[in-house]
Amino acid sequence: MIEPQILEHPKDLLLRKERIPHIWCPGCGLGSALSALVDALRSSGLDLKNVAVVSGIGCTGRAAGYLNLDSFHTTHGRAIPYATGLKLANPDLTVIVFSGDGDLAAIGGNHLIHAARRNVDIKVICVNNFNYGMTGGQGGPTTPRLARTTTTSYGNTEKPFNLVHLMAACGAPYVARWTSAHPHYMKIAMGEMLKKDGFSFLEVIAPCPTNFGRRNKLREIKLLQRYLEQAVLESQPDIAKADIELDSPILCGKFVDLERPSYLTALKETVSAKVKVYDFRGDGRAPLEEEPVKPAAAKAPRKPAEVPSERPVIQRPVQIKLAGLGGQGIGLCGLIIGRAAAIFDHNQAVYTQEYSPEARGGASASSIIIASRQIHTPYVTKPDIMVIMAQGAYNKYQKDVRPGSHLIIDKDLVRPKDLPDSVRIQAIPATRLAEELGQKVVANIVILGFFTALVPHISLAAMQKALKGSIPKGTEELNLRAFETGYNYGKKRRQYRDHGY
Amino acid sequence: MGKDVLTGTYFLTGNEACAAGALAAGCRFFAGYPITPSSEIAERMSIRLPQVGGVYIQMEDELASMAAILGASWAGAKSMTATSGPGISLMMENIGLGVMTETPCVVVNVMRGGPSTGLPTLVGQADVMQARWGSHGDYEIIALSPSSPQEAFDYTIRAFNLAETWRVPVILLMDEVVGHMRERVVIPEKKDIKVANRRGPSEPPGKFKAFKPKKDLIPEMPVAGQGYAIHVTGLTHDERGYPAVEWEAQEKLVSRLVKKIRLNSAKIASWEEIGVEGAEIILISYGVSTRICRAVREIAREKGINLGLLRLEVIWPFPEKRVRELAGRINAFVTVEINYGQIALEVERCVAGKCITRLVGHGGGTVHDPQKVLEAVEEIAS
Amino acid sequence: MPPVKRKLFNLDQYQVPRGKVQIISERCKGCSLCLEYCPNKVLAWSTDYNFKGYRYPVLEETEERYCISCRFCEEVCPDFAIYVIDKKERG
Repeated sequence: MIEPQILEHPKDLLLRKERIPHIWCPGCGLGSALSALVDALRSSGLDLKNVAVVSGIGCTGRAAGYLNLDSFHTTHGRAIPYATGLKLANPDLTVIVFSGDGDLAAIGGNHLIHAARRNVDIKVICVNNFNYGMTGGQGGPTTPRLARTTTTSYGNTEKPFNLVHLMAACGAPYVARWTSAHPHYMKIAMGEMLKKDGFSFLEVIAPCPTNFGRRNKLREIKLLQRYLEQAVLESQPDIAKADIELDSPILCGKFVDLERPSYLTALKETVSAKVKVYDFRGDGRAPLEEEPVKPAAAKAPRKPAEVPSERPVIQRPVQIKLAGLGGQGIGLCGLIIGRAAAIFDHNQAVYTQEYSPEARGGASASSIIIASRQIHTPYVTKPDIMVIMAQGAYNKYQKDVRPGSHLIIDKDLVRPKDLPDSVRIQAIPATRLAEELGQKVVANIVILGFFTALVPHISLAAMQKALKGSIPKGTEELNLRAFETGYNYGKKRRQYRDHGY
Repeated sequence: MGKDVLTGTYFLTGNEACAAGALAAGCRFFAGYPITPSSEIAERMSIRLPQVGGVYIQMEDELASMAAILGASWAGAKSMTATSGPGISLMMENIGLGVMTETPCVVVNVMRGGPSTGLPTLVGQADVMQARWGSHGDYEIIALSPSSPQEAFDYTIRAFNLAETWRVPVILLMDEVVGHMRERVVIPEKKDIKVANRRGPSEPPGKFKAFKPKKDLIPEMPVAGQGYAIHVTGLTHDERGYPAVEWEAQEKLVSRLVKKIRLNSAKIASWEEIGVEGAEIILISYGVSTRICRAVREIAREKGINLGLLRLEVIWPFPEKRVRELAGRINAFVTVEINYGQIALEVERCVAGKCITRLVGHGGGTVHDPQKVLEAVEEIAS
Repeated sequence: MPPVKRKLFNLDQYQVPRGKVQIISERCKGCSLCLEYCPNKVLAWSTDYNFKGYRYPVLEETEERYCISCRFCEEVCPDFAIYVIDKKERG
């Protein structure tokens, strides 16, 4: 009796049938690992519509393309970050990374350790064949010592990664190792991984008879037989003894299985306490609830308000430079001036900041250009007004003080010298006044008030509004008093000598 | 949940405005790695994304950041990353994957002085050709260049819309000055912001081919989890998305990737012309250098020189046709950019000897001195 | 001491399952895993070749050596070329 030819396999449901037979060599362990994954998926009860597989490059990298699931064949080493993006943008997905040892542990090694550390919920199946099979059998990060490959012809001299140990050290909550000769255990491990919420890692030791086997005198099936002989199955294997040498036992089993909040779970716990969110997903499937429209906040008027009547008209752009030591709040001063001019006076303002490499204590400057028409050049080149709050800053920026310009200084902290006679100096003991108010830190706001009294380019009302919107909650009273102190000090001075800016 | 569009008038840096624009465009996923001078974008996104239910993740490097936003895009998210200097070099590998797999996403490059570590806190405009062809292989891409914080907001939205429409990574070529300077930024009402979304599959799974182009050369895009069992590969692939490592498939695919941008460039390219009609000399510029050129025009006008300005809003694709047209009518093009001649070469190519071409360039670290630009103009005018 | 042959006291109550091996010959690459790991050695090499040029497994059961439906071949086959269906016992 001639049996009818059999063309279908029960696992075909999960395969892109038209792409089978796959490219893998006879005796290669990849097919067995893929077959185990198909079994695990079939019995997982998961909605397969929501399962995505991501691979990198190499023989193993082709795996994604054989599964009839959403599958992604990415660049060399980048399967894990790609999978991270997939998972976080749509948390409904079960994301599996199926890739090789060279791809995941060498070129993608950085991604591997960080994904394990941050515990993104992806399932990583690393098929380890001890060499780069697709490119002709070169040595790699897992090649055992003394093993021969096309790039270690005299025997490998480097210590290979103990991948399971590495993953455990990085905090992966699930770590297991089997060989491709243990399809049943692979399947069980994969099933457990699919259920786990968190980063899980399975190393599958698989033969590459064509390259690794041939060069190490273990052709065809002999390599797999060797692994089977070498394999030591333990229920509680000691991960520190999981190093793989050419002739050592290959310790198999489940090394780590613990509970640790996954990246998304931890994110939800931490952020939800501070921000009202009900879901983290990037695919837009969680629609935004529009908040009821509230009256416009002072900081952000909903509609451009009427142009204020006291708006200063500035024909020629005015260049202002503020300098001080890091921490004196020079940047904030500039920001308030800019906001006042640009938002509340309806003028144009450009604000730039000079950065010094020190985070604190170095002399730094911020610059503002104000005009009633469009400002083109962003940088202050010839300041009309300079505000200097410390001697260190004076020494650095004295060169920018031009003849005929105005210089505003803290009386006690800056001793101006070597200046052209035409520079008009206005001084205020800002720090001293701030101390009298109880807080030295508001010296910058005192000087800002002083500046407002003297400089006609920004209206008082605008400055007050900008100030209120720019200072931390709970410090309003102190800051407003500081501003007023400086302003009144300036008003008095102005009565004596009006320079008519 | 918070609002994604915070309508109002603000005094923002270009970087902050860029983040606001991304949210307004519908961006809900950001992966990045800190680098000066782009870090403020990541910082802002890390605060704002959770408020609108999106995800911010800081990756281990720029290779990972770029890969993650591609993955997120295929999960249905509008995704973005931001970087600068060495970071954009690291992203090139997966920008290529994005091009090959037609993955919409936005990559912000806040240009600083290079090569290598160069000038981390100071301006450069020398990544223009890298934006075009920095990844290996032949392709066409879209790049935009804002010249103010307001444009940083507006162009980020445009960048997302272009990415979603033409299914290509779009590069927002900011520069350090625009990224760090503050100016007034008006964020309009949500209803007034135009947002484009990718075209989803019009056929059920089964018959549908994920990489079969429509008339406009753009395929419809299903995403993971919709039941289409898509296969997405960086290998040369056929219309099903399956690897096809042969020259015929390469010809078919890569020529389409190039053509979908080139043949549609009339719809994508965008530039601003200021005083171009009747001008003898035209400045060509983009990004922060545009601002200098505007200042130069004003001084030139006072001196009686009729100077036009062609300002690139979209750098790639380049407005070839328009430049060619103008070349026949004018005396000279002067390209003003912070490098030693990148767009200048493109201008020369399009002009093809029909008028004088000049470059006013420098190595970066600061903006142009308007006087230098003026000198170059005066030299030609005299 | 001669080895003791142990036998389950209630073995009679159980039946060894029987299976039917299905082979998709055109998918086979002749890696020999199934032949190697079949506990009852019911598989043998074919006499002819498939289109890839490989010999593939064929079923060679006898009274003593029959498929017990352990499915090891199905699990281990890297090429999705072999599987087992349960044989219902008649009578």
